[in-house]
Order: sequence, then C-alpha cells, then structure tokens
Amino acid sequence: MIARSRSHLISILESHIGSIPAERTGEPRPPAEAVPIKTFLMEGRGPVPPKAGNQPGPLVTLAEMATDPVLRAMYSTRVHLGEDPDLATVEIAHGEGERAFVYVDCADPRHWLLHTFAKSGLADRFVSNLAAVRRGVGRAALPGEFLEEAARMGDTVALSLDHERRVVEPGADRGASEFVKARIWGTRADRVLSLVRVPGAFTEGIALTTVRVKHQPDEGDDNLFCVDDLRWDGRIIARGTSFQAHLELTAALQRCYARQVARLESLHAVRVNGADGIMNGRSLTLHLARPIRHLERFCRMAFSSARPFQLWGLPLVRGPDSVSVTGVDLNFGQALAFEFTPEFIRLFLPKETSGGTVVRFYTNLQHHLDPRVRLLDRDEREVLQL
Amino acid sequence: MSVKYSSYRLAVQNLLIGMCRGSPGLPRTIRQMGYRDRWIAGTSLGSRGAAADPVLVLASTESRHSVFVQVASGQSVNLDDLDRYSKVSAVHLREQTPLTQDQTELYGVAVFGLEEHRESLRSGIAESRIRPTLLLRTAEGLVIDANPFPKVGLANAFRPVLALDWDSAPLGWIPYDHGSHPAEVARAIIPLVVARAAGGERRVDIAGICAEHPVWSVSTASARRQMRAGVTGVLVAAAEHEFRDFFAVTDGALRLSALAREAARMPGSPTLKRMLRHQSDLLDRLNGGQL
Repeated sequence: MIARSRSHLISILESHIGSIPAERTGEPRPPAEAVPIKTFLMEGRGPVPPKAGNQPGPLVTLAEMATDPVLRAMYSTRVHLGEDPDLATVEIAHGEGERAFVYVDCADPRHWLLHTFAKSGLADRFVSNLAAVRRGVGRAALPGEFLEEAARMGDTVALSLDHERRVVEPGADRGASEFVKARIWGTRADRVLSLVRVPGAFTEGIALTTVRVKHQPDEGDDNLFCVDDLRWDGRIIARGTSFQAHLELTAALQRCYARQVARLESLHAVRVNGADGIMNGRSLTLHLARPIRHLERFCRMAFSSARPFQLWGLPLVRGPDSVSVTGVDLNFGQALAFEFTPEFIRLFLPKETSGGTVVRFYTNLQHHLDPRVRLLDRDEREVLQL
Repeated sequence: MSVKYSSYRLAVQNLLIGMCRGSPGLPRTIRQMGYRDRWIAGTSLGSRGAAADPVLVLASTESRHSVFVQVASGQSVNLDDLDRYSKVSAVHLREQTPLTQDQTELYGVAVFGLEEHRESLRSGIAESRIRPTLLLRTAEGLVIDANPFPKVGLANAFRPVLALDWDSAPLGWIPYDHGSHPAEVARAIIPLVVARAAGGERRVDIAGICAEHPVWSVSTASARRQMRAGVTGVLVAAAEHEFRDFFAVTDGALRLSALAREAARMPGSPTLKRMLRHQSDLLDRLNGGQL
C-alpha cells in the first residue's frame, strides 16, 4: 500500500504490527506466517554535499537511485511521493510474484529510515542494492555500545552475542576459540551480558549482535508496546502492539548514531582552515586488546572488497610491523586512510568522508577481530561519548 | 606489496603533525611542551615570489616559541630559501600570520636532513645568515647536529636521540604533496577514483580531486599547479595502461566507464579484485620510473 502522508504511513504500519502475534517475553520463534516490520537505518548522504548550495533534496536523490539502470535490471521500481515533503513509498517487484513497499522517511535529510513489511530476504537484498547505487548513501552499522544505549529505553528480553574470527584469521590461534555464538532469552538477559564481559570469561571477548528490547511509551497504556530486535547491521525488526513505540526506540538509536557520526566528523576529519592556519582533525586510533598476528594477511583479507568489511585497497608493507592502506568503504563509496601495527590502527578521515565509515570499520572489528577493540582519541579517551 | 617511502619531506611533515597531535607510537614530549602544527598560507611570509615557505610551523604558547620547518632531502640546503627568513620580523609574524604574540616571542628555523649528508648540510647551514638548527634522520630517530634550539627543553628532547621507528611513523595526515613521487600520488588518488566509481559518477574533475587535498587551501599557486600536473600525469599514465578499461582522461576530467561504475558497486567482484592487481602493477611501474 502506498503511503499518502506520514499519518497514513503510521496508520498502515500500526495496523500491520497489530496483526502480528505479540511476543511479550521475547520467545524465540515467531509464527511462520507473521512478517514483522523491518526498519533500516541509512545514511542519506556524505558530510559534504557534492555541490554545496545546489544539493538536491533527499527524495530527489532517492528517485535517482530507484531509477538507476543497475537497480532496474534487478527490480522493477516506482517511487510515489507523499504529501509530506520528506516521505516517499518505493514500490518494488522482483522476479515472479515478489512485490513489496518500502517507506522512506527523510525527516532527517541525512539519516533516513526505511520501513517495510516485506520478507527479510527481499527487504535486505533490496536495501543493500539500493544503498550501493549512490556515493554517500549506505547502511548504518551499530557497535555494541549503540545497541546497549538504545536498549536503556526499555527492558532487555533477549541478546545475541557472537565473535567470528574464522573469516579474518583462519586457524591463527591454535587452541583459542575461533568463533562463539550465543542467544540468551529472559528478562535478565542484560545481566548475563555483564557476566560474559567479566575479564577472563572469554579470552577474546564477545560482541553484541542483537538486543531484543521491550519498550513502552512513557505513561502509556500497558497494552501498547513494541518488542524490537536491534541488530548491529542497522536493521530493526519490530513486533508488539504499537508502531509508535517502535518509532520512539528507532529514533533513539538514530539520534545516537547521528550524534556520534557528527562528532567524528567535527573533531576528527582532517582539513586545514587557511584563515587561522590550524589543521583540524584529532588523532583517531583503534587500540586492540589482542595484537593482530598476521598483519599483511589480515589487511589483504579486510581490503579485498569482499564481505564482511567491504573495503577496497592495496595494503603496502612498510616494515615487519607496519602496513598502510588508502581504502575505499564500498558501502559508502568513500575513501579513508589506515595505518596498521599489530597493537593499534591509526585512521585518517578526510573531510569528504562520512564518520559512518569509521563506525562501520569499528563495528566490523568488534565482530570479526577483537570485541574488546577501543576507539580512542589523542589523549587515549573514548571517542564515542554515549 | 612492499614499499619504501619516497619523500623525506612528507615523512617529516607527517611525523611532526603526528607528534603534535598525540598519534600513538610516537614520542609525546613535543606535544607535552605545547607545540602544535600551524600552517601559513603561501606568500604570507614575505613578498610574492620571494616568500619563505616552511613545510609547517611548530608553535607553542606555553614555551613562547615557534619553529619554521624546512626539509633538505638531498646533499645541500637552499640558502636562498633559508635567507628569506632573515627578512621576517616578529611584528610581521604577528600582523600577517595566525601566530600569536606569545608564540613569536622567540622563533627560529630548523632544517631536517639525512644523516648521510651530514657534512654537506653542516657546511651549507654554516653559510646561512640565520643559523638554523640542523636535525638529522638516523636509523634510530632524529638527532640535533648543529645550532641547538634555544629552548633547552626542546633541544633536550632530541638528546642523545629522539627515538623513532620510521617504518611505522604516520604518513596519513598529508598523503602526498606537490613534490611527491608519482607512485606516492597514485597510492593516494587511485582509491579516490574508485570511490567516485562506487558512487556511480561518470565524470570526475581532476581539479576536484586536487581540491580534496587537506592543505590545498594554504598551498601557493605554484604548489597547486605542480600538484595538479602531478595528479594529471599519474591519471593519464593509469588510463593509458593498467586502468584503460576503467577510465579515460579528457579535458581535465576523468570519464569513468560503465565497467568501473558497476564493478565498484559489487563488493567482492572479480573486477574489483582485478583493479587491486592493476593498482599494484601501476605502483610497480611508477616506482620503476616509468610515467
């Protein structure tokens, strides 16, 4: 169904969420026929518009993306603009019989929300393909800290944890755990998280993949709530009885992401201000709790352009413990420079590149190399201030 | 791929920026003394055509001191470059540059050279009217060889040696400049081209790529011309050989092929991996002196 306005959209999604059996306790398996609402956090453009002052609105950008020939080769797409100037519905058809609507909310012109109740396979594929069309538009990645921050708005009823090093260092550490996956259900799931993070519980640490949060709007009806799965790849799966509750939770996560990206760009993007002779751009470093054992091999894998990092770049070996790479984040289509040593990684963020590229790399390191990695500034303070 | 860093000028520039900004893996002494990197737009230090042109300035309000940094990559120092500082006064610095009165209470020039040219550099600075401090790069780090800094704390930071691992010193603050070797330029700008292709752009102005350089706004007109010529030369070389399927250079702009645009949007694609091999081949060729 096409959304005519924001109120119409809310009505469509409220009626859909009401049709899904509610899971008050975060039970593991929803009924097979229920297709929950999915919301994707996206970055709608880079930090510097290509032609400042002449930047098309986000829905113009969206319309260009939706009519891109490569995307059109995979999907049939139509963009329906709503009465609200920052709302559109993308009608998509794929193959035989797959048809869906994706609602694009650009109330924040840089950080978009995409809502859909298409099945996961189609929704994930389409959103990823759509993001690949345009430079500066990409899916947000959410480190564990962001998920935990948003989860404070409600009760944590389930957690997924993982650590997957088989991709980046296959067989690197004999005897060490190369991967861990865990799913914990229950109203005290967040306490379990603090237990598994006790030093020594897991030698290499463990990263938060998904947190399931039950949220009720303040002073609301007890029967109105959402049970959302907040995932590290920027996808939120909503069940419950209230789309409004889901929107509140989503907005909190979106604000957290936008604030941190803006902070990275304002404090750490490298550029010289000619008037005062000051180069802006503080040191930005990832400190690893566990040194990288095979530096060149790790860099070749991470910058091969393939998943999970989706970075393109040629690692240049400067010494036994030093590798430099000017890389391209293919998710955003933006460049940044990396300098690796076994113990730390220096990052250099150009002013044209989104701080989201740093967040994405940090998040991927949490999941695939070192869950205890820390993003620190020049005074060794945490960069992400939640 | 192994690489030797080709530009000592850039190595010094990046090192000093890193030390002032607390980059990990570097000594923090200079930062702790309050020294910060400052940039002075070309021609601010003297009349047009005869201005002193420091690589950068280290300025400390706490130490009430500024150091104008010059780099000598070869056997000799350019005495004309050094003697231009003799025409610079404290009043001029306060009125014409962003440096403050505190930072210019005491100021001087430091020449960063290479240990293998010690004797000729010593002779060169002895002929200069301004008695610059001479610092030499050694395998262990940096040492003061002549005319120590008047600020004892700063001089002591280099005694007996400011220990550095040159192989892992930062290079990312300023990735290339107008004097860079073509391979150094290619390392920095080919990824920018791939980034534009990933965004589906068909045409990229070379001027736009140059303007993304972090110190473009404070570069002299001459440095900008040299930088643009260097970037254009590398892109033409790449377009005629390794990247001929991916872009062409015409009228000061790159025209990206459909192959480049489509490949860059498909992470993990064989074409993207082929582009990595082409980048490696290009750097090998440029390192071998073939532009």
